[in-house]
Amino acid sequence: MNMLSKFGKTALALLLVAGTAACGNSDDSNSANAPDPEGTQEAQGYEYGVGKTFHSEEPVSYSMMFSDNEAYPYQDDWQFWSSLKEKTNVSFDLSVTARAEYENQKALVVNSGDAPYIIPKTYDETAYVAGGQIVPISEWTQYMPNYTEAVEKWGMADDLKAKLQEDGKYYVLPGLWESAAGGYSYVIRKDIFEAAGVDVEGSEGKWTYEDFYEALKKVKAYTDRDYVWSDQYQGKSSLNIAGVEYGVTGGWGLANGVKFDEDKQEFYFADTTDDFKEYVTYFNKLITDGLLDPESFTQDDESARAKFYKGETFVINGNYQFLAEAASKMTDKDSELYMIVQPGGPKGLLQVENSRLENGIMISQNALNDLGKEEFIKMLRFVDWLWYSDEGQTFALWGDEGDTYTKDADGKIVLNPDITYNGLNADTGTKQLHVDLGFAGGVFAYGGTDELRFSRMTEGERDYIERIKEYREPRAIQPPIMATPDEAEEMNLLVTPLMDYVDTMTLKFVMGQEDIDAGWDAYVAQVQANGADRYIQTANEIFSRTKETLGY
Amino acid sequence: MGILTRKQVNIHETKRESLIRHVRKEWILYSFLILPVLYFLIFKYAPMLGNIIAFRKYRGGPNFLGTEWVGFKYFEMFMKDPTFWRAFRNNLLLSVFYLLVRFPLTLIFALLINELKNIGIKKFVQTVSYLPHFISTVIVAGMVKELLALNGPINGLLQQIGLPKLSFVSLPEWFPTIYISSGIWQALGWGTILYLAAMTTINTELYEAARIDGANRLKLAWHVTIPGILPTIMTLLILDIGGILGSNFEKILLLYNPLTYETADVISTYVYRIGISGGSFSYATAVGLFEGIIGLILVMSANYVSRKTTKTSLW
Amino acid sequence: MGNSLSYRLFRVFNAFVMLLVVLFTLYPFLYLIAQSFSSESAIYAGKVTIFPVEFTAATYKLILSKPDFYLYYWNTLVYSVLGTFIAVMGTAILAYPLSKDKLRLNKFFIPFVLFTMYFSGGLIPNFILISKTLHMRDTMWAIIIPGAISAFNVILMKTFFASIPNEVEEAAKVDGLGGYGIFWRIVLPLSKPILATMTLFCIVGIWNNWFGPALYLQSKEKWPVALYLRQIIDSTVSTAEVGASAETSTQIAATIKSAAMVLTSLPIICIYPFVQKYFVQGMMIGSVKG
Repeated sequence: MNMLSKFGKTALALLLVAGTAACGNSDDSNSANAPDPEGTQEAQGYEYGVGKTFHSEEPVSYSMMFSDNEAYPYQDDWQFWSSLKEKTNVSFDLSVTARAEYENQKALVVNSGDAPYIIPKTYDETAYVAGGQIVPISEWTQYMPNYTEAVEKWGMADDLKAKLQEDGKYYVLPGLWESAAGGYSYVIRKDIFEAAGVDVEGSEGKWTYEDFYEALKKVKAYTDRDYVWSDQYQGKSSLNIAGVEYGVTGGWGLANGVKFDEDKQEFYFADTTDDFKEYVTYFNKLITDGLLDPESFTQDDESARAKFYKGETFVINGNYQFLAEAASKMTDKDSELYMIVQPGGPKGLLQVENSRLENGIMISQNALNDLGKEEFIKMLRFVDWLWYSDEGQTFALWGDEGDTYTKDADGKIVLNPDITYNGLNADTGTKQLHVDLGFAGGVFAYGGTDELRFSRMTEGERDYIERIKEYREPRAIQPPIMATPDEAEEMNLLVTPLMDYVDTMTLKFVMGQEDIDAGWDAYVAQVQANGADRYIQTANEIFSRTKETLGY
Repeated sequence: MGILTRKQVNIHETKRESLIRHVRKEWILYSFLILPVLYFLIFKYAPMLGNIIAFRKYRGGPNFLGTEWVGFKYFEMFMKDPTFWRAFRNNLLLSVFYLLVRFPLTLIFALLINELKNIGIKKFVQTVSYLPHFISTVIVAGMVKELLALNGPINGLLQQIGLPKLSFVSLPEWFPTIYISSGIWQALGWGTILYLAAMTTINTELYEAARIDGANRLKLAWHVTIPGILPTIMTLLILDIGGILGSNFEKILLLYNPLTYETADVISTYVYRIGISGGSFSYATAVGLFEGIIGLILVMSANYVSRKTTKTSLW
Repeated sequence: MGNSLSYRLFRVFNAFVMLLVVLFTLYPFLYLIAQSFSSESAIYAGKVTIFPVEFTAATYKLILSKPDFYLYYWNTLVYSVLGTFIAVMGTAILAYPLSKDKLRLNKFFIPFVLFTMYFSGGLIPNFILISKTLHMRDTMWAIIIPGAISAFNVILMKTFFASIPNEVEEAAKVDGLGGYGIFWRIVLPLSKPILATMTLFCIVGIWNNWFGPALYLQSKEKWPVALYLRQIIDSTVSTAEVGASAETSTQIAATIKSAAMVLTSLPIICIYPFVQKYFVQGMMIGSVKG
């Protein structure tokens, strides 16, 4: 008896302790810290603005999360840090986290109320909105001139709509690109394709997946292999980019299987349509006709790449960075690697990458609470300069003019010969731009003008992007489903079993484990049974509620 | 181990004695408990309060005790989800089969090692058998996939015998075998440590006595060794049974794919796919409580059965 | 007994089994070592089996030339040694009283301990406890303390302690030793096998633990070698779905992966022979006699 009450008392004490720890950091934005719509905050003790370099009179330090990429691990003596300090008088108090654990760490640190002020490399901010730990940054962007200018100049208002949350605000400062990226496509052995009689450059502009199929057959006939294409990423990238052309979702793009019908202005479930049937039939054909290696969907990336390097296969999905690295690993030194424009499909010759936004920065509520409105705005203006001004972006990518790079007569950036990066100056470079100096890293160097984007590319990559621009049509961006936290929770828990089934069946159809014709009706019925209709219904209800905010 | 497990002898007087007097009398022994119990309260029990979000809405953020009561909503969510039950079933099957195979194999292997006369070879075999334990799961998964590739060694062997090639990794019926075999490979050697350690505590005189009575090696193992380490064996068995709803999360994540979800998807991987979001924390916690309760029931039953049959038990 | 036919057959059988085991466990390891010493092109061409092809120690030179690597190793050493000591001692002082049937409160305390094997707080409450309430974030204590005593280990040790006959302790009492003395001078020395086993488990556990460090260590100087290894080898696990950005995991050379793995696991494997000497048959003889 007394044991129990003793235990009970301790438990109570601990409950209290735990409770107060939790209550430590509540939301409650006091009105003193609310943004004013005019955005006219005087700059006290610092310089900022479009065309100006941010500079603080007093040295200042901001806490930030840093995703440590194993390919160029964090060093505290990188030139990047010292140069930044010189220019702006700002340094960082970094939480260095291994890239593989970054998402986990982010979730923990934000949810425990301990988040650093600046949280970069945020791909999906939706999970953090309801917790009240992240600033609804859309209310503060009027203080950020470079960001605002980019949005206006490049017409990003529509793109940003995709980031709107249920309260009409958005919570992340996305990376902004003047044009959409090249993205993933198929890296092929141009030499083999041409020897097999395929006019690559002539036909890639207009070819659809069916044309691509014919080309693959020619290659197979010429090389006489069991299959000519063995995919990496477990086929998820190919399923994704092909999905776009068929109007369905698959692979990396599987998501919730939902597409938006622009004409009818409503959402529908794309993965039970006839388009979807065509899509899986196509990939199944690739396998049964001995063009695509069935192991593509299960093997390790390493195995797929090995086959390609060794010259056993001639097609593999990848992005341009992969191509650049693969070039040096090919066993046959005369191989010619070429990145084709993504083939088109029933929905047309569509550009796969349609978003000009990319991973971005969340600002934690702690920044606002700790710094107070004035200093908070100062920090935002610093972020504005480093990540959104042309000067800041160029610095983050290339370093210091004169020191690491120079500009030629046309204003094009020329990397100093003793520095190498992404294939540039491969023979003369002794220092690596990202590994040794800290520039061109994924945490800081992204976003910007086309010119800046092209400056980091080799001829080949630039050519690839140009070809996409020439031969492919841009496509509309889907509106977001602006659900309330309760709705979002329900939909989220519904979506996993639903899409698991679609994912499994996609592969079964493709691999021939399920017969497409025989099993189709049962498949559609099961998808309905798993709640697809309910999901779409909820999505459309939400849409009709939020149409106006989105401008429809 | 050593002398067969002792049992209490003088119970008759303790019931009479009051609790307080008993604690005073044994205060030295109880004092050992102070620090560890404090540790448990702080580091194990205090965080457990967080489990309350299985019954409350939690939207993320430091208010980790949740915002409002929702009763059994999250429990209902997963209880009504057939995919969850599939994961539950797979979890059960994989763990039970793994236990059934690994348990006797580890014991037998330990006994065999114990029979090695040459100390040098014994050490060598032991050390080498521990190596797989140190190979990171990612590398193991990679090796397994390479082994089972369509043009890998196993399929090569099949071809030689005239059997058709199999794409093992994409066939749900093969997953349990792959999971269990790779698990045995990883854990067999390491699992013998406890048994071997226990065997050293067996009084060698017992062996002598038995040998004099004419027992051969098999009888020795059966009548001396195994009874000698019976507490260890039963302890491990009981604990393993309690752990049936666990699984090697990382390995499954690396070896499974949508084609094999049917047999490979277990509770932990399913919850992982549900991802991080406001509601999923509560969902995951509810599932965790469910797992915990089942585990507790399992361990208590196993303990009871063990007590009745072999006279050894955890408590 | 010596040389009967059945015995000889058995020895052959046993030798055969051992050979198989050694083959199956040694071979993959040798393969990894060979990989770490081979050139990248040889690996991609699939030429490597047990022996290195195009031998090159370049990968090792690369890893060992990074001064950080030695720092990580040092960290790992400190964490492991300190952590193991705390863990083993902590577990022992908990397991000892629990092994005594005569303590009536064990009926409460054993389930008290066991319960924690099935219920835990989850990531967020633990994180809040450790970083906010106890301010242990970014310190080595965050790695060593929370996981120090596990119910599993306690139960195992308790089982071992329970096998020490009462008579031994009675005898010590007669000789004038008090409760603490008995524990320290009699019980512990007799428990060398389990203490050695526990030490081995704890050291290996802490040595290979990357999860706690990933969660709690912000400063890279405090990283243990396991986290560094995780970065290199295991980055595939978490980034399965990232896709579209230009920041995909760069292909870490296959050689670096295997070399890193060899470097981190080798030292720990070498520890075993030292622990082995505590597993000596016949510890119990003489303790009961007289």
